Amino acid sequence: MSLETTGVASVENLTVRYGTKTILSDFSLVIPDGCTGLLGPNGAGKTTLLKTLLGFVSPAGGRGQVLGLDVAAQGMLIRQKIGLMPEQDCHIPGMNAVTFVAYAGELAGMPASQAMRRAHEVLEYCGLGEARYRNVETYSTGMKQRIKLAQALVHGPKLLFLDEPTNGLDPEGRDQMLDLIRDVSHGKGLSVVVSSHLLPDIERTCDSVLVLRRGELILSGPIDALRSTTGCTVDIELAERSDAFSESISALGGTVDEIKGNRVRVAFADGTKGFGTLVFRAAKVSGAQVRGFAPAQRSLEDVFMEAIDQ
Amino acid sequence: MSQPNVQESTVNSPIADLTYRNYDGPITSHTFRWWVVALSVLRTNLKKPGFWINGALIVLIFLFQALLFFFSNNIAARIGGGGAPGDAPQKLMSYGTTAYQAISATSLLVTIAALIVGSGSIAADNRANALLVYLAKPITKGDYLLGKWMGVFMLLAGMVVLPTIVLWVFYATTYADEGFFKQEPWLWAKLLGASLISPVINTSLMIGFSACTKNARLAGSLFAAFTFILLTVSNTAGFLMFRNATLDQDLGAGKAVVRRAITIQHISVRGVADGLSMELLGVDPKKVMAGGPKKLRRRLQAPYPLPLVGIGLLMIVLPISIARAKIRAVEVVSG
Amino acid sequence: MSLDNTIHFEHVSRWYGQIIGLNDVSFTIPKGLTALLGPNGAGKSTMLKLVTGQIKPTTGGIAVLGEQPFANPRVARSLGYCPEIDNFYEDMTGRQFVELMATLSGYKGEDKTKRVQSSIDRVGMSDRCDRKLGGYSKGMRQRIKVAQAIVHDPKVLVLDEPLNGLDPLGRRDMVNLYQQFAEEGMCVLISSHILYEVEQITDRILVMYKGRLLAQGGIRDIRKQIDSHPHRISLTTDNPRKLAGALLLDDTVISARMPQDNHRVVEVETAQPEKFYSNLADIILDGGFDVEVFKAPDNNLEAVFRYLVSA
Repeated sequence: MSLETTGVASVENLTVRYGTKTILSDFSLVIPDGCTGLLGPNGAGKTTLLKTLLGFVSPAGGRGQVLGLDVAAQGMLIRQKIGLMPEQDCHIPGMNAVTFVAYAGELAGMPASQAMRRAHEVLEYCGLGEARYRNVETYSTGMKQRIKLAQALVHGPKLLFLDEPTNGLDPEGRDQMLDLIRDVSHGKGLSVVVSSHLLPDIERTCDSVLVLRRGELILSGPIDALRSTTGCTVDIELAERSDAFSESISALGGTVDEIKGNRVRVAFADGTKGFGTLVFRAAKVSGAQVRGFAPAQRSLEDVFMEAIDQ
Repeated sequence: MSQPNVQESTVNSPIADLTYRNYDGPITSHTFRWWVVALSVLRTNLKKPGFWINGALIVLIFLFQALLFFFSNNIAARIGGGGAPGDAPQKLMSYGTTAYQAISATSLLVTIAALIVGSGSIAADNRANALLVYLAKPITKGDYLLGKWMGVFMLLAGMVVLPTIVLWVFYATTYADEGFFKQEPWLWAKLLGASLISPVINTSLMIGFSACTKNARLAGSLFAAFTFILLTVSNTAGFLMFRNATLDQDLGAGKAVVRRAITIQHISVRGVADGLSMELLGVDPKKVMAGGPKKLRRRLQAPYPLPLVGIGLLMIVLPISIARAKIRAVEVVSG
Repeated sequence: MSLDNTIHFEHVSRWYGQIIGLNDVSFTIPKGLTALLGPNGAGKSTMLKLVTGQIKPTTGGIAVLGEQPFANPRVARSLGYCPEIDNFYEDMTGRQFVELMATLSGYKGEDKTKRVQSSIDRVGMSDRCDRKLGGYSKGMRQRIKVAQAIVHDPKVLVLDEPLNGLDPLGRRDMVNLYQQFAEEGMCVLISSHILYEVEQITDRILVMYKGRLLAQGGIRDIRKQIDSHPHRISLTTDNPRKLAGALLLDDTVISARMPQDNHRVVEVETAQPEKFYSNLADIILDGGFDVEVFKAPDNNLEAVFRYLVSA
């Protein structure tokens, strides 16, 4: 089976039960190469899916594979090749960062010498400089998140699961973490799955998304494709709301779709060229000041809300 | 697996790409994964001064007993004289008894060591949510438990077994010409067995308590409380039964009752270790047990070994099962 | 200090031994929604503790609803606090916990039950409030925290990272709720790191940095004031170099840059955005340029914050 159909991990007709409750029923999903966002309201089955892929839950029906390994039978081997950055705070007590990450590497099967040198490499990559010789218990939230990422990367996994990676980070920390995620998922030989409730984070790092709701896959595909709108629609930002502008742009052939404060969404006839010029002309005529415009793109949040609300 | 976009520019460039690179190096087999956990327990605890102080005290006790043995036998040899040359001189204290005294005297120290080394072993992990880190790796919960148990056990065993071995070497070297090997060819095995009972039971109990809480001090306190309360209750109950039994002046009839009383007195961590060591090393209870006035001391017997074995096994298996159950309850990726 | 200025700080400083938490901070937070921003360690938690009366300022005066808040039951009765940390009585159910807090605020009987129910309804936990707190997910815990903060109808509501753990639907619901509170006349202070969300909730921000008040006011106003960072504007067109040339002729333009990763874009910088935007329409139309995308990538709160903090 080619990689396009099986992806880096996939499940087929998966059924998972906890006692009498059925969480996933006849569920199929393919996680593609690259950076994928896993979205969904709480209780949608993301956690269960993750547990199944890690080999912790035996499916009641169906199968799953991660990197070609069967989730039901080869859980241990799977965990060899994947890394998990959990959402909750977790660490091994009484160790400094280097010892901790080297230990994590040894737990994953690396020989002690390799583990130590890899630990340093990975800590450097994650941006922990001199602080790596301090006890992990003294770390700030940002540093704790980086350590969690480091321990997931140390053994060179081919698939990385990140659960709420920007949790508790201040804006600068969030920036740096997202840059790290973007960097590690592109061109480094590993694929990343990011589970987060912060959709702009997903937009910034991921190439495609999988949206779950109540145990079903309701949306999947590359983010760009999902966000694009059909036809020739433009989102325009004015200095301030101007009804005169709406009139002038209509006069030039555009249809005003939506006005939100100082933002206007205008639809032009399919194939209209030079709508930029039309916008500026309308602005000049109506005396409005254009602050920006771009082909209308729905935000991931809009896409998500639309999918969930159905 | 496709190789997405490996930068070709870096392959031939004189400047190295110092960003993330993958690891495709050797991976050790899974069989000894538990050893990694055990090693980390060792590393953490070998740093603790309390551990070393405890160890030193145990060594001192063994040293004291060995010296006692040496000098008392020297004096006995000089006083006793007697016997034909080449005969093994009489010993005031036997090899086994001396070793037993040492092992028994260090019982409390082993318990304290278990507290120092083991109270945080799983409890600290619970508090730090460490299991989340462990379980996402290719390591089973069984490996984790085995590693923790072995780590604590090795530390405790080391503290007792090493001095015991040295004692045996002392015997072997000093008394070889007095027929030590002829008299006690299997002493080394008996010593090993006797010295390991206490570490095994203490480790299992401590691990069991540690797995139940998130607070190392609570685990330690519970373990200490359990040990001492059991010791006190069994000692008192046993002693009272012993007194009752010895009120019957008929030495013959009450023997079984007395023995039962003494067995009950030994239902504790220390008691099981002592009782079984006594049995293994062939120690005369009258010489080592405290019993009060001479009248009572004459009636001292060794406890029944079989019930003690049963209780010992219970104190090993039960806490380990509890620990297993507690660890199994931890979920990776909760919510 | 009248009752309208609901939170007022006057030259407040607070230090812990030698460590400075807040350094001579003065501001007023009126009714409505205000967001408190700042890197970790900037003094936000100190500020929140001072507002909620958990600690006293070392120097300076604080007035919440006209009175100083430290150990002040009158203020506590009208102040709701939703802390960031998650410590509960795990054996209680959600409802019991909110009831406990209501009791502590002095409500009893029928009135208390009604209030508890209504605050649980408002946060969307009516179907799940009878389960033990120990089994709650992060989002559910968050909602219960908000429920206990509003059960006594406070006039001032302080929320520390209130959207943590909520899925996008939950976030939307709670954001609407907070905006509702603000409309009802409450003074709502939200401390958050999620800047794109803060932008959508409110325009009024308070930025802390290293114990000092770095900025307060409307996001747009603040942006206008940041002189050290010229506005960056990006234009996508077929012939960006020609456009760059034309733009450079305008003296509001400081620099034009051709980014290497996209050959259809020209990025210009200007220190006089108002004038630039006015001139731009003419430049484009006169030159006959066909612009497809025209945006100011740093016209959002994240950029504003970054500039403020790095300056």
